[in-house]
Amino acid sequence: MTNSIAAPASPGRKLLRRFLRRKLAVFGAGILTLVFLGALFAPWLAPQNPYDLLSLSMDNSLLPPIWAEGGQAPFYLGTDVQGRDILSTILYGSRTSLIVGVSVVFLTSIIGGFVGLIAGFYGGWLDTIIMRMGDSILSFSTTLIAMLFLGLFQGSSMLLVICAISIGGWVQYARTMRSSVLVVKEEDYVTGARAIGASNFRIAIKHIVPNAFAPLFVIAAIDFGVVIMLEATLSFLGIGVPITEPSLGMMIAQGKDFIYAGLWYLILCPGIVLMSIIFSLNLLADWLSEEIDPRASK
Amino acid sequence: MWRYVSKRIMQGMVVLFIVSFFGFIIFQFLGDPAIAMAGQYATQAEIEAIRVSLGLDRSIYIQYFNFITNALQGNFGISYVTRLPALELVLQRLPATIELAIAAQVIAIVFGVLLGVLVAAFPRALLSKFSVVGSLFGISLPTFAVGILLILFFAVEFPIFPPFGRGELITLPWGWETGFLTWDGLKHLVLPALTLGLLQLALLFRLTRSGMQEALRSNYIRTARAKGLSRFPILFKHALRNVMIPVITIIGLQFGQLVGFSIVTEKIFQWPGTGNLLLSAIFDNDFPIVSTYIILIATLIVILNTLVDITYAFLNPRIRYD
Amino acid sequence: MQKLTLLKGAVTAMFAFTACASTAIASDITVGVSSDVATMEPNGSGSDSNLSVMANIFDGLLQRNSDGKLIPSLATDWERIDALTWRFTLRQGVKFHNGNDFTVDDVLFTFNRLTNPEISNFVNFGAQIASIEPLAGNPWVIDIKTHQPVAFFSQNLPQIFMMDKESTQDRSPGDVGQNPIGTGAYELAEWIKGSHVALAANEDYWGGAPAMDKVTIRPVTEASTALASIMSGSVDILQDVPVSSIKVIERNKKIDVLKTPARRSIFLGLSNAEGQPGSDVRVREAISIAINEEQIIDKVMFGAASLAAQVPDPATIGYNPDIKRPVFNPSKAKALLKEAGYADGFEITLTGPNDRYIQDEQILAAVAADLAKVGIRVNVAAKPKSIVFKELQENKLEFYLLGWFDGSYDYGRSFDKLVTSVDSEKGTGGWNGAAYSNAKLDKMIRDSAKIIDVAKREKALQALNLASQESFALIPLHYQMDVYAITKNAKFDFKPRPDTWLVFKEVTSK
Repeated sequence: MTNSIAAPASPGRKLLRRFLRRKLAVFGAGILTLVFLGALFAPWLAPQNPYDLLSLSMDNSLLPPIWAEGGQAPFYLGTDVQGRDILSTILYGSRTSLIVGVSVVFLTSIIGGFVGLIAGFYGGWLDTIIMRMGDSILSFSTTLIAMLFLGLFQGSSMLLVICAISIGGWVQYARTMRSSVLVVKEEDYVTGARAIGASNFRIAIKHIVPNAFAPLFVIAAIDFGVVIMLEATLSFLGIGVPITEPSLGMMIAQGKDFIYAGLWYLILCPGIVLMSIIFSLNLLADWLSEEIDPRASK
Repeated sequence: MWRYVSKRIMQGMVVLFIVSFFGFIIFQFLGDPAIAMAGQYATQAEIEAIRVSLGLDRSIYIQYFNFITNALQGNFGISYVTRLPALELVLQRLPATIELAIAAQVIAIVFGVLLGVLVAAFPRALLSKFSVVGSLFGISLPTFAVGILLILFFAVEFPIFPPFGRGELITLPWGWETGFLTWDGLKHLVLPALTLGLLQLALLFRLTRSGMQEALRSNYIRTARAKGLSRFPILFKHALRNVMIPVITIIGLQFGQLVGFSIVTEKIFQWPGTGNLLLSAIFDNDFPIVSTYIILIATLIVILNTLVDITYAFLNPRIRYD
Repeated sequence: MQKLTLLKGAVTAMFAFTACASTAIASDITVGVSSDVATMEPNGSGSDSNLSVMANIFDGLLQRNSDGKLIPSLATDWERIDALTWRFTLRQGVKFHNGNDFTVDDVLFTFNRLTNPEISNFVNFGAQIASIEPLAGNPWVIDIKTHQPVAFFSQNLPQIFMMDKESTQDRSPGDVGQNPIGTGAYELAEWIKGSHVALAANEDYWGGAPAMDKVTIRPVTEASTALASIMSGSVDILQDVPVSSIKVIERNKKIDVLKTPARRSIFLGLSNAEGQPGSDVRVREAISIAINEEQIIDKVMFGAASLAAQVPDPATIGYNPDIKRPVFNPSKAKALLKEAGYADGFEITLTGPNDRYIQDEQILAAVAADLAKVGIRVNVAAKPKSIVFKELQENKLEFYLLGWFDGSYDYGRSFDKLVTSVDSEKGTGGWNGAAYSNAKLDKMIRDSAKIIDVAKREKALQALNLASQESFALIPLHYQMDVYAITKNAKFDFKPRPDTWLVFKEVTSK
């Protein structure tokens, strides 16, 4: 890494320069870094550990933010019903939301991408089985799967939410990968490589994956946001993360009950953070998807 | 081609069997309908009697076998709550959901694809910059929050649209109740359709845009341009055609998502569609409704996916089917 | 702010032509309710959300007035002539909506239906009836005999609606639930599933035509949308106002808020099986005094609840006014836990519904936070009721939250379900989620069942209730309140009922 920055014409440096020219992408990366750091260092940054029931006191229930009348330190953004500090809960909640988002997208894109590659590349019965399996799974809504898990296990947890969303999540990656592979497979350079006797594996890794990667990446970036929102939706339906460990989504789901009571900050603060996460992520993904597209003129 | 289509239909049937089976197994863990049916004070023996009368005491395989043999004859069982045929109940609610999904899909396709093409063609226009940022807002808040905020602003603060419900309906000759044909019905449709369509709109917009950008850089478009073809035919005839494959994939796939998210939209707007029915059926242990719904959705998805795959073949003749 | 108001005015004026549709006619009334109407099969649903609507279309032999008192309906007179026999005099000249006369045959038909498990939600009640016979020579007087003495028999009758034999027996249960034919003050005018139920006044009602001509019941299941519905004027009355918004609605100049005590109590159950912490009564006491219930009522329930010292509400037979609620005392709770050998506390899972009772999920979290302060580490498992109720009936939970009120106003009947040891042969302990078992209480409830004298039985149930509270069999939290919002310019007088039913013949126009 140090090398690439030291050498003036290295690809890393070029990449960085191109990146810095894109103001929106830089902005997105900045925000995202901030949120990630906040989530990572939540235990040290947050005035309170909102997941620790011992640190909560209902005496502090529904305090307004510090600038409003009745607001008090250290509850700078106010508190919720249980007396949880909103700022702290946002830091911890972002953590939960990001972990859910990252895990699901990571899991489903790897599995889906791989499965789609196999389906598209080999075709035949393997393709049929994989793609029909995908069709079957998509018929079950995430709501139903999350309900099933709640029935199977004692209580809700982040892990259950991750699993419930992942079960159907891989299908879109598989389908996208597969359709890209189908197109790329027939391109001249792949048929050429085949003609000179390159192995299947080599063709797949060297020619197909890089070319099929760009649409996958766009989907992954958008999916990240969709997953975080799906988690929020599960919380809204009462089948998401545990109430004692709220995510950003659950904060919004609970805050919506106060929207007519004038307690705006309950939905506004976590809402802004959630929006900026997804917003920045997409800004970044926009740039990246153009960057990694091998056919784009640079 | 016909061999391919018939093969896909066969596969579709297999999918439906698998879906129906797993859909059935799930219920073993979701709750016990007999508890609610027996009433608060029923004894364990009385609950058991109800289980027997519903056939729930038999093994899951026998239950499934009975269900599937009946289903093949069009009988999907009787709702535990209303004692009415499940299929009839789901079909009764279908027009509401389909009209909502159509409205949402139309909003998404028209604005999403159109904006995507225009932004790719004129990246420096002010509209483009607004659309890029705007599309991100569309996917940055959970559906339920968008719906609640829309109600807050456009039904309570500025009472332009009604907050919930489907409004005045007209029954068409074949029994379909439509809200498309009354002013009141259309007014009721605006907020929920926007809520439901926003995510799809943003997705389609971005997909079209990135595809178009790629296409516009490609050699054949450059050649077309060099030959002096005018701008709009190039955009809509040549470039867009190339972009349609991923877009159609997503539109086809989106239907599943539309339905998935329509559950939430329907709940927020108290929309009398299948999503609301499914939600109450899940939470009331009304399993015949849930399985009918799952099979219906699976059928739709299978049909759509088959159509998507067949459309591929037409749009991109280079893909062979054997 | 002023600018915003101006802007609002302008925007609203621009679209004013779209908003003028909802001006109500004098005798129209639209009500928003929190759960959907599922069926109108009178014998097929014991849930109040369905009974509430059906109470307008059907009549029982008896009914409750708006204070909850039992008054005549299709029976003009009733008495208990001996331990097993109840005598009812039927009302004459009553007609069903289809024109059929209400006769003793319809009564027999209805009670028979109750025992059919494929239709009935009242199998348990139906099974208690041994025989129904018209008095010799007078077809308008019937004697109903029960197998065992059923003290609360008459109390249960307001929810047993009389069906028309002729039009019911030939129709499928589904159709009966779709197209209700009753004797009630209203007829079903239109029912769009998931959207609304419209009722039209029955001008020939035996009790006189109701004041409201047309009633529309609109389910709005999402709390924030429900608030929007009353604030935007889409409904005249909103039932089950979300408690978090009571204050803001009270400040709203266009809307009145009505709060009435509800019958349902919310309580906790705890296993006392060997090896469980709850087997030590000191632990049970510690838990009950470690929960700051007053604060829960204030902060979580927003004041819309009252402290409960026992599970039955004051109207229930068996309510004991002498039971005092143990005082909140976390330091004593800690001491008790230490005495019981749990100086370092213990870990336990608290299961409860998150879609059933007012603020149920928040109550669970608040209880967990209070117990954490005395060293008990509570994992909250909040799930949809369909799953929780199944788990409760399997009697395998460690610690749970439940709400209850007795529609028959008799604590003995509830006690058998909630506290009596689980015994599927005797049919006891069905809702005893943690399989609590207490031989002394079991004997007391068995003995009380044999008492026929009403006053003596009440004494026995009160003693039972006291004994149960002393051994902390259940840990009561609070009684809920029902909260209604009503538009101020309403042209009618509406009075909420303790059973939460919306009985529109009681609504008078102003």
